[in-house]
Amino acid sequence: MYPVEVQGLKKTYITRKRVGLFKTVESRIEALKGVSFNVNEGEILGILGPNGAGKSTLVKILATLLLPDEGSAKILGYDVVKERGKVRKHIGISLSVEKGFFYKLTARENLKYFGMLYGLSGKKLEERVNEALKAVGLQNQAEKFYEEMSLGMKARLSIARALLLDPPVLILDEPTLGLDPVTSRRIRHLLVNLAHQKRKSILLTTHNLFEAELICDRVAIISEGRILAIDTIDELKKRVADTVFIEVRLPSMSGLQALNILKDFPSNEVKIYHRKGIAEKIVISVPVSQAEETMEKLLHEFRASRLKVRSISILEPSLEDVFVKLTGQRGV
Amino acid sequence: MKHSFLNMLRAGLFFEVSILKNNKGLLFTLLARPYLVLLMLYFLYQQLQAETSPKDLVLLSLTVTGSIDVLWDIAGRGIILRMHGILPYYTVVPEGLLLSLTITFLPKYLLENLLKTLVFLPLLVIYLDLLSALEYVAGVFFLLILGLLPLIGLSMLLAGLTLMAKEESPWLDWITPIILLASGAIYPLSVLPPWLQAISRLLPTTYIVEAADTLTQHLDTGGFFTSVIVAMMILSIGYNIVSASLAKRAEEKLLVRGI
Repeated sequence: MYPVEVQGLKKTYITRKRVGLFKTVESRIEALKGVSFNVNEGEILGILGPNGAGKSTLVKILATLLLPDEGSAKILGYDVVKERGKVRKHIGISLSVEKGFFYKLTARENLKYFGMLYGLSGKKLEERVNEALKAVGLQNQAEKFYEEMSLGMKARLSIARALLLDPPVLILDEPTLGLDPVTSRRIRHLLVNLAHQKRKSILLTTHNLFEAELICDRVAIISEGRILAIDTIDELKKRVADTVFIEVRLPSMSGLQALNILKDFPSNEVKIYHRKGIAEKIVISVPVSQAEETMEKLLHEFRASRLKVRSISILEPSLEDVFVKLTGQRGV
Repeated sequence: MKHSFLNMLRAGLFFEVSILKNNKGLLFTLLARPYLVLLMLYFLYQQLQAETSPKDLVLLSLTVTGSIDVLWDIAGRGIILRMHGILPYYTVVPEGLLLSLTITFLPKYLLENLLKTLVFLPLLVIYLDLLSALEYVAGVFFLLILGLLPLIGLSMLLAGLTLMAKEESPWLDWITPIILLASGAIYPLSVLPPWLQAISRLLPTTYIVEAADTLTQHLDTGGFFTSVIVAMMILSIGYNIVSASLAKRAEEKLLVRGI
């Protein structure tokens, strides 16, 4: 048994829009089209996907905040539809880093309140609140009002609430969204510690590919309600191993000229992935077999056009490359 | 289940005490408002040369509107919690959203109304002796608790319907005035049309109005007060069973759409 088991999950949202006094038009949005995966004990599974891919729907179903239309999802063997009460005792959720608490209560009071709601009392409550505050490094800010807390503190408090019952499964929706790099790093460290030291199973959604690459043991790439791939990051990278990336660095203001030269390259040979600024850095994907040849050809063309090249190198594929290749999108 | 109820009640009490402790202004307003209303009514009734004592009128309005406000307050709280992104964290309470929303509200209702009634004690001591004043305050508070009982299930149901509705507030805007009208809180029941008088017998608030009238106007003859209370208790049980089961269905519907 896996701590989290999801099988063929489907969800369609039906909305009705009034178009006249008595007439309504129904619209259907298929948010999930048969999603299946498992999360192992002590594992961080990252759900990556563009906006509207179905990430939040998936999180809400697993958090028992939304009922699926079809399929099943189980947390520690308990069905999220039929055994909601039992599921709720075994999960900790964090759905937003910037809200979700009472502004006029302190961090400690907020945690105590939710602890009581979730069934804690007496000494156990005090202990769990203190442990949760300590786990997220907020023990010295415990008496601060929520309204006075920085976004980073709020994010940590949200994770602290998820830890109140010391649940074996954590479901976190974009736990580092909008946070500064230092706080993000702190939270990443915390999550890795929770998964690998405390053996908690963590399912998190993120837009941040860098973050996913750093902390997730496995990643599921979701797009338009389907999981396109789910594997370890190394295995996912192997899937795009038939392609390599050539990164060309050019002096400033010469990007446009370089792009003009690249225009004449056959499109099956060269694909420009992204341009920074006015294209001082150009990344081109080419089939592995043509990497050397394309590099020489590029250098030749740039020299012929008297365009200086600062550096040119072949890059290993990143998670972003995997994501782009699978979803066909240039960025999340 | 009993244990969870207690925990939710404790959580609600802890929340209310913390909020009042952290917001001295709110506490002051809570305590000062009944006196402001009293002052306003006092001058109004002096001008109209009415016979009813302003003290009794304020206590009457406190009991009646206090209990009906529960309907608005619980549903309104649901909307506010949704706006602040807190609602999902109430939903994951094992007993569910509507029950946790309602049960955690009860200590707020009891504490606030206890404070509102106690605030009149110094004034009542001027009119009555201390023991009678205490009896009076206890009577009003007892009525407030009684007034709450039949509305618990209904509040859950209304909160569910409000959260399900696309436009949230209209639900709340029209229901309270209708109950106030049909229960004889605004006009005496005798001036209402017969069909509305018949409906009013099914509304628990009607009995609260009658009980409050009895208490404030010292009309308790022949066990009338007791029979009113018994009728209300019977209605309360019926109302709560029906509305709690409807509220359960409403919560299921709510989960289909998502919290």
